[in-house]
Amino acid sequence: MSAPMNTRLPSKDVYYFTIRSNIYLVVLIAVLTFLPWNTETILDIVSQTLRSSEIIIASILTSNLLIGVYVSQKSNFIKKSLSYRIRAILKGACYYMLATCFFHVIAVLYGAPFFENISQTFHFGALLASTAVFPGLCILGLNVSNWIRVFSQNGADLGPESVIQISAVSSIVGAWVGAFPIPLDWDRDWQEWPITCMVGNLLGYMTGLVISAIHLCVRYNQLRKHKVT
Amino acid sequence: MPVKKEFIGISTPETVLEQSGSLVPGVSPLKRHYNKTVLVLIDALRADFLFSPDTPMSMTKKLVSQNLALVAKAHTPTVTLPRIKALMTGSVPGFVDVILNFGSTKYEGDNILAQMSRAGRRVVFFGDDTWIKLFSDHFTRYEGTTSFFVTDYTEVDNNVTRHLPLELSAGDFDLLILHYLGLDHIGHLAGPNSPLVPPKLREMDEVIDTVYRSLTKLQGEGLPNLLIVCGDHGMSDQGSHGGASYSETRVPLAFLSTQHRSSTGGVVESEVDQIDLVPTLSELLGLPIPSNNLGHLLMDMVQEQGAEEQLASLLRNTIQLLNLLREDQPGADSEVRGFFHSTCELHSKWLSLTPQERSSAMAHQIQIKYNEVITMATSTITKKLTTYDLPALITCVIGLWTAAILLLLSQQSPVRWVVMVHVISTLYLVGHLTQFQSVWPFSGSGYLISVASLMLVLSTIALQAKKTMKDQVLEWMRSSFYGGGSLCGGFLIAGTLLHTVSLLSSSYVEEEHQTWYFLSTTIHILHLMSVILTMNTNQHPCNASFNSSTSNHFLRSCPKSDVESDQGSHSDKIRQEVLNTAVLLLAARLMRSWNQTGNKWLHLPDIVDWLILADNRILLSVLVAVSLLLILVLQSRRLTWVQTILSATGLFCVFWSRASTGALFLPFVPQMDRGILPARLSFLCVFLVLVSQFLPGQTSRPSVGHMDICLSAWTVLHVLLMRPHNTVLVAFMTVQQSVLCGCKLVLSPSAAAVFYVWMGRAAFFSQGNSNSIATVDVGAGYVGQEDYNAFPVAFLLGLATYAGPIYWFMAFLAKLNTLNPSHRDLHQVYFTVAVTCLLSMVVYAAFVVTERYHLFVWTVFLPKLLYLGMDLVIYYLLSVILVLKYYLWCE
Repeated sequence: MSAPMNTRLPSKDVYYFTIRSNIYLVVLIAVLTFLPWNTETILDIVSQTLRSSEIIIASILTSNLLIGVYVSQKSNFIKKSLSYRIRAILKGACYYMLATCFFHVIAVLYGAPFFENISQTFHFGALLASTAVFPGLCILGLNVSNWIRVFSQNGADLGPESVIQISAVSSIVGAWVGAFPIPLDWDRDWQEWPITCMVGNLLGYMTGLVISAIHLCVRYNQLRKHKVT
Repeated sequence: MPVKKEFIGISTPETVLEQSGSLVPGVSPLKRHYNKTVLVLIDALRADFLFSPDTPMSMTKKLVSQNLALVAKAHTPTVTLPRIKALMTGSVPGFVDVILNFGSTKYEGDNILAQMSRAGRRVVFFGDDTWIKLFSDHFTRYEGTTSFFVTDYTEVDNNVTRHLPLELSAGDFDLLILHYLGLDHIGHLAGPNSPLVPPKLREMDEVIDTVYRSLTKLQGEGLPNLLIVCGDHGMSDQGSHGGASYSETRVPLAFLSTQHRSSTGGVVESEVDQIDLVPTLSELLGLPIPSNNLGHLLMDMVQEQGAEEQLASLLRNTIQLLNLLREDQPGADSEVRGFFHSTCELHSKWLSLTPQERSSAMAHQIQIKYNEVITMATSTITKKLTTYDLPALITCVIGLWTAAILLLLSQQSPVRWVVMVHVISTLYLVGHLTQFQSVWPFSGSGYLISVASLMLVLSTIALQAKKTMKDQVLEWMRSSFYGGGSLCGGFLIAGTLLHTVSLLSSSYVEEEHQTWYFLSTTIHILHLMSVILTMNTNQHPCNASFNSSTSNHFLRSCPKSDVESDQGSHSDKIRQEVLNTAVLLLAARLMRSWNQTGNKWLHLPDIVDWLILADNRILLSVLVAVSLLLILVLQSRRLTWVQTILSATGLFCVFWSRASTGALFLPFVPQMDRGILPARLSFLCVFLVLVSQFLPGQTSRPSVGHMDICLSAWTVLHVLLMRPHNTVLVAFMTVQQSVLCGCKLVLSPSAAAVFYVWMGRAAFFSQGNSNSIATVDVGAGYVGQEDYNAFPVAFLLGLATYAGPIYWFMAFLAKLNTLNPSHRDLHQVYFTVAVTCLLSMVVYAAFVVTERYHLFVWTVFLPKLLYLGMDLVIYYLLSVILVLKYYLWCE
């Protein structure tokens, strides 16, 4: 996937907010995932996979929701009626669940056990959905044309949308790469399904956030210079 | 790779006597120490089954404590056939021998049984019919049980035990061999910790006890009787065997004599080699030691016989080993021989003394010296088995690399003389390597010239192509993969490279099936994604033009004006495409869980494990029948009615033959003997279907190519060669194939080639194959064969093992027809096929040479190398079909 090539210059406060929120998310996930590594506490993803992944998912969801709320202050979503907003939020939750089930099915097609470890696979699906789909739901809303513009036409604006595009693709790629260590004969606890894929997913998401922040930075400065001259 | 030379000829008692007499005059001759011997061989009896404190084999354990038992180390491969050979000949199979001896032909070399029959003794055998294939000439009486149905673990053993009362009361044997298979079958079925194991061990315990009691009663003629209990190989914790892990190689070896030993025996802690049984047993029976023996006389066992006998036995063992050494490596025995002669002199001096003067200290000293000679001799022999012929290996790798690079550059302009030089020098090298197997005759001028010319070829090409090569490869990639959607095409290249790199790790070699499943699933999902993306683009043309400079390749396939006119039919098509891909993915997922293979998750239950349970026979039969019908229905679309009837008959005969062997259930039809006749009938049908396309009267439908008919014929053969439960896999493959026919997954011919090769690899593993030799289904070689014939069995075995890749290559050829390839396309297809096959081979061969002292080289890397080589041969033959088809047929 090539980087978004949009030339629209975002407003300054959106630009700074996006960069700051990216850094905040990266730090948050890193702290939640790698600080308690092998500590046998409730946040340890190796021994308490389900519980810790639930916490990570919850924190990613809340942060993205907050980002979404901040961004939507400028859009016309806030001006719509309350019932419309509630319906939209419920629909969004439904889409999120659908995405989770979709990723669950994909994981089974990739060879995850069908009868055993259902909750593990489901948690993996939920994590992938919350890094790859949920930010999109928060920022792009339910309008399909927005999604198409961002994901299949490289038409993301230089702001939260490009962050969504890059981080979604890189978190899926990360989860895909995360499957590589499973067959190795090292006999480690963390080689259990789905820990490596979850960690790969999170690492991919973090890389995506960092890359998109850098991309944003570079493009923004380029464009501003261009505009000034 | 080192090939071991076998010492041909059988040693006779006379020569043994003569040789030992000439070295040490007055040495005591061969003497029989036991009257009747019973060898109870329990398949997969690993050491802790007998020696652990809470073993179910309590009676045997009690007997052992009064006698002698050892922990023996079996050599790899821990598979029954090589183990039986080792137990009877004392030789260690080299790696190549495993391959050469896959079919159990009659064994012609020297072994204990041949010695027995030469000496006019009677050998009686009951058990695994592998023995009968190997040694049937030497048995007075025998009855074999087939180890074909792993699910049966009671009947195989009852068939052995039921002979016991008669044999033991008659007692007219000299050696009775009982080979029990039940434990091994339980291991394969349920693993060593299953609840089935203790009852089976108790049953074995009773058998051993009964035999021992009867032997005590049979005592006569002044000589005691001997009962030997051993396992041929162990059992891993997953229940399989074949590798070199501790539990697979450690087996018990118990000598239970009816004459109680004077010295205390019990379990001896030190480990011995399993083949040490051979010289020991030979000496105890008063037979010459088989000439290929590498075993070492077990002193614990001959201790009873007195110093004079002991030394004589050792002398004979030493002479035999030195003879073998001289035969194997002329000149290498000179240093050992000096030491040996001094020992012999000491021995004769000791003999010349009167019995009163002989000191036990001196005897002990001689004994130690003999043992040293034996150790030196065996280590010299075995060292050769593990030395590598490095110059030869490097030459081969260089040859491979030049071939590969030549191929890569052949895109450009093949300069004739370069190719000529290359071919000639390669031929010379091959001739040279096959002629000289030993290490250093390599300084000859011919060798140097040919290597130099290879180098010359390399450098010329490199110089010539330096500038254009990079562009060439890029150009080729772009042109050949662009058609299939850039995402899928790019991934086909990336995946091939990824697989090549993954082979450099032993775990990924063991779990290679995971790689292929992963890659093939990914390509399907990528296709799904790109279909969905294009759908969106096409449904919203206004948005598509929003940023047309970057997204124009999505639009290129259908210009804007067309989109609006047939949007409805287009979205229908896309829905169809998504559905197709979903079917493909689902079929791939089911095929994946059909057979567990590899190493790490081998113990997990799979669908086949459940299907082959005896209770599910009816279900299996129904499933097989349904899948055969499905295959027929899907095929009949491509065939004329005559061909349809023929293939229907063929498929029915397959079912009939399976029913005759008892694997399936078929009412109302008589069962034929071992299903040979029906199998042959379906061979005939395959042949007729193939021939029918050339008949003048048959005008096949215009859209149907010859390849489709070949594919149908192959499917019938494929079903015939598979185990019954794998028939369902063929049905899945047929479904996938017919879906792919109309699918837009791959559009350019070269991308299709790579994609179908991937599908073939995935199919190869889903039928239960792996990169270990133990998983080759030997039974498939005997379909429709009455007895062993090297050529057809090897041929069928090859076809059956590589059935999946062959099927998908045929499918590729059929698909290629529909793509209407141009000449340039065809050229690229050849190139792509060759590169995909060669790339992994070239990299892997070089890697294995550098890693030749790796711990897993014998168990993981070399089998994979063999598989890769075989793979290359198969794809080479298939490519020849491709070339023939297009250069002779179409023009």
